[in-house]
Amino acid sequence: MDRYLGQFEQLLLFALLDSEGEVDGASIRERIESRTGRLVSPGAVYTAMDRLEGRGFVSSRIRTAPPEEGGRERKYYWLEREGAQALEHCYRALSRMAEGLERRLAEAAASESGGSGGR
Amino acid sequence: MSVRRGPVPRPPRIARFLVSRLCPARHVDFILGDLDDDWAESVESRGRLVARVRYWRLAVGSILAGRRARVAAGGRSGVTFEGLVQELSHGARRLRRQPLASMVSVLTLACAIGASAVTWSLVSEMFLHPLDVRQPERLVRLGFRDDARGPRIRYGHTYPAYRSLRDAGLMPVAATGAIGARTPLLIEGAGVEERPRSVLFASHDLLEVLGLQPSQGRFFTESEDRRGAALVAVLSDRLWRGEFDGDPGVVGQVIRLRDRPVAIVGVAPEGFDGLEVGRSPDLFMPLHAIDQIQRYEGLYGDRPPLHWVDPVARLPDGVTLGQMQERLNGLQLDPARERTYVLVDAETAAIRESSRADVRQFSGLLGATVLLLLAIGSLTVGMLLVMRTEARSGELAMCLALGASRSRLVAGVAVEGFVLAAASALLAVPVARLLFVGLRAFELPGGIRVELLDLSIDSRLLAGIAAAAVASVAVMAGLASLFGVRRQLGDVLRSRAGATPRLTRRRSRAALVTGQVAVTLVLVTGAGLFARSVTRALSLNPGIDTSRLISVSLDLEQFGYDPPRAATFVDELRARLAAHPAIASLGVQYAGRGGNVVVDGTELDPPQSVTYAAIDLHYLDTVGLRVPAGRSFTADDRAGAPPVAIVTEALARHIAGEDSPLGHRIVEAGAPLAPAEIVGVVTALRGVGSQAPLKMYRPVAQQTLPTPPPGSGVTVGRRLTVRATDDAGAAIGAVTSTVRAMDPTVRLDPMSSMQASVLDRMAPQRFGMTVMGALGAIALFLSVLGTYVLAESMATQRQREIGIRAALGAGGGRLRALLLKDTIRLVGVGLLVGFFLSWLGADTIRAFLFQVEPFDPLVTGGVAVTILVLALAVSLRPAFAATRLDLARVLRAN
Repeated sequence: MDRYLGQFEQLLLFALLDSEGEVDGASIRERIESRTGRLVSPGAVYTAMDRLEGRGFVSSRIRTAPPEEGGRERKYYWLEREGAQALEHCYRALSRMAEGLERRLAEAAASESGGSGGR
Repeated sequence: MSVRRGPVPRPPRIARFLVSRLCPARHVDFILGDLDDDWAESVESRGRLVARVRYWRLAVGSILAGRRARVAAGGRSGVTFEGLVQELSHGARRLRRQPLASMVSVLTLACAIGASAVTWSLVSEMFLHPLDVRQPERLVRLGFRDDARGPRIRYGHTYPAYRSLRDAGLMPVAATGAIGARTPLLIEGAGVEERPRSVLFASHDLLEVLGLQPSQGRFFTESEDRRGAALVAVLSDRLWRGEFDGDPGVVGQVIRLRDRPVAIVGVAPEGFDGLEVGRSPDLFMPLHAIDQIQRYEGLYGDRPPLHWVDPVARLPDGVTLGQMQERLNGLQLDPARERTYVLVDAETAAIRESSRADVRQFSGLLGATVLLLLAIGSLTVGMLLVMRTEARSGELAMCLALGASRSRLVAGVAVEGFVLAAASALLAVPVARLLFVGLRAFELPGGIRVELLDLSIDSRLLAGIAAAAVASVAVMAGLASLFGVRRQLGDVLRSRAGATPRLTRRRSRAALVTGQVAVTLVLVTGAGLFARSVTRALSLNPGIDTSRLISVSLDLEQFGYDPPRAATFVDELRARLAAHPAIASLGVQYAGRGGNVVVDGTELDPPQSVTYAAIDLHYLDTVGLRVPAGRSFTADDRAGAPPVAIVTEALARHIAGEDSPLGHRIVEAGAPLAPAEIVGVVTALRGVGSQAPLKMYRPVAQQTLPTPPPGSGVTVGRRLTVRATDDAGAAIGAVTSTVRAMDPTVRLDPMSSMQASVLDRMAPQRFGMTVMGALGAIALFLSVLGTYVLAESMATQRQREIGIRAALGAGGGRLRALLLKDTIRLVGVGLLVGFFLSWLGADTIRAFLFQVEPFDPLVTGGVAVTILVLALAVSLRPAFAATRLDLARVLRAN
């Protein structure tokens, strides 16, 4: 099975991982925004979640939220084992690539030219 | 008007609509729910503006995400986003090649869109959402029908009637009240500018019934809403922001109203402007405080009946207006009067029935004007597009011949139109802002002051702008597909070979110019008719310089004066003012109620009631009224001398026909007075909208008007009339300062010259004149420009024909006449269409004209001739240029 995940998909799966049990679209957006500062549109969440659901990484169900949360119908998602494995795979790949490079990355990002040499 | 009702304002509707239409159906509900939750929280934590921007970003992000997903899934994408952007930038680049024409088009369309958006906002504020309260559709006002006075629904009830309705317990009832349309009062102290303010007296539970909360402090308590309680007031949001800089510390401050201390206890919610459109009060005071501000007997009792209370109630849940009306029918609210009580929904009642028809008609007129402007804008843009497609005709025809689809080419032209419309829509926002500022000075029919309407750039307005832009794009795309892309390759090749192009090409442009001329005629004629109405109104009183005439009520009894003290005050005031250099002369008039008169023992049957007035010796001279027959009053007409009277010319005709009325004896019907001998006939001062006044004067020295009992609150109708030496402003200053120096507690109503009041009365006409004049000027410029462009293109296209005619011996004058004849025919057809349009609109405009007919030959003829002359003048240049060309060269080139 293809276990490659885009950056946004990884963010979504991490947001699911961050919560115990099911979580609705609005909470996912809130978590991503508060942790990364990135403004995420509801439409982007639902379409990406559709994709992830199609690949068996997440599951969802629709239920009515309790009155203190507005009482309307919401879609709740939870992480499947396959999803967790794919996320772990991607994260490990990224970590391995980054291993020992953190300092150089920081230096490169801080240097004035912004590059490490001529093109 | 922005949305302010309830705890959370409504999210941007356009964005919401776009999401509901463009996002995948299976997600729409969740997305909208999330967006709305996010909106509610953002408004709270970040403020409205940031929340609005955020909402739009999230909405657009959601739409694009859905689209991307569809494209990625291999669905039919139609026009891609990137493709659209590319098309748009192509369109913009093509338009940049004709900067002047593009700019004129964009400007015109921007004016049109801005004006339509403003008109929409105005109409919406007056008719669609006049009240900014919770569930305005559940709010009702108590009106009544008085069969003796016609079928119209009226408002205003006695205090006991209001109490009966309240005590019946059918529904929550509050009340507002005022005497006269407005109660202008001066606020002093607390650093507030001293000028008249209008007060609305309101029961303590008004805001509760309306479902509103004060934005600062509180509303009145029940104990403050009692007779004799210490005075308190709630400021309107407008006054609070305007005069107190929105300072929250205003609560607890004390202002002075007519020398009485008034504690400010709160500020009314933003957007709440009372219950009548365009008459927003400056401050609210308890209903029962009125007798401390205005002394009238019968305020709370029934004698004399004073109809000053206006109950407003909220229908209980589940009860319809009809059901409540039935319950009301069983009640006897006012046993003393035969009245049919009617519940009217508060939004309908927000515009008084007496002026509703006028306001509606005026809005219709405004709407029609704006539509005409929109038409002009679209015609100009259409003209530009046709010129563009003509210039590209070769290219387009080649594309067609090479197999490009017609719709693809039309889409290209439409995109240019869209770019124009989008630029215009952007520019329309500042245009609308400017228009708002300009409109503030005006008053609509029914005394609705535009500055008091809650107009601002908001989502409804932007929706209007977007709708107008879309509409014009549709018009332009239609024009483009009609004229632009139907030329056959054969035509192009023929014209390149030097043959005369088919006539249809010129006809399409000619149709546009004809349309412009027609619209111009309608607009400029409208402006001319309004201007003529205003001049007619200003010249109602020939020979009287109304700009120097000032009249003000001197209602001393209201300030605690008894008749002898009042008389002394008036005498001293007269002496002081007579010596003032700013004042040429002054007179005093006591205008009592009107009624019928008895002449030589027979009651007259005049078509309107006769006004009774008592005047001093200087009044007639001060106003400038002439005495064409008989004499004026003299010092001999004193108390004890034989009673005398003077009548106006109109009344004289009713009394004696063409004969002299002098010597007849006249008396007010039903008055316990001795008949007076008519000793003179006087010209009358005419007001706007009134017939020639029927009026009889008696000398004030003969004490003929009944003096109202002290404290009864009934006014004696004493008015001071002043003729300024030079400047009305200086005279007004002199009167104000003299009165204040004599007694600081006496306050005069705001004064203006009679000419200024006539101009005030003619505000709707001046408004129409300004709007139609400005739009007419734009239209005139554009149609003259269009005629010039067309004349030039016709002259160029007919060069060959002219060359041949010249070769055959036709003279220059004849050839020029040939070319000018085209212009005359074109403008003539445009004028005919314009006459037809004017005829269609005649009934709408007639209601607002004063002593002018919709087809005033001077105005209509003058405008038509002006348009024709201007069109001919600009066509002369191309005509001369065409006939001056070197024949040999023309023929060779062809």
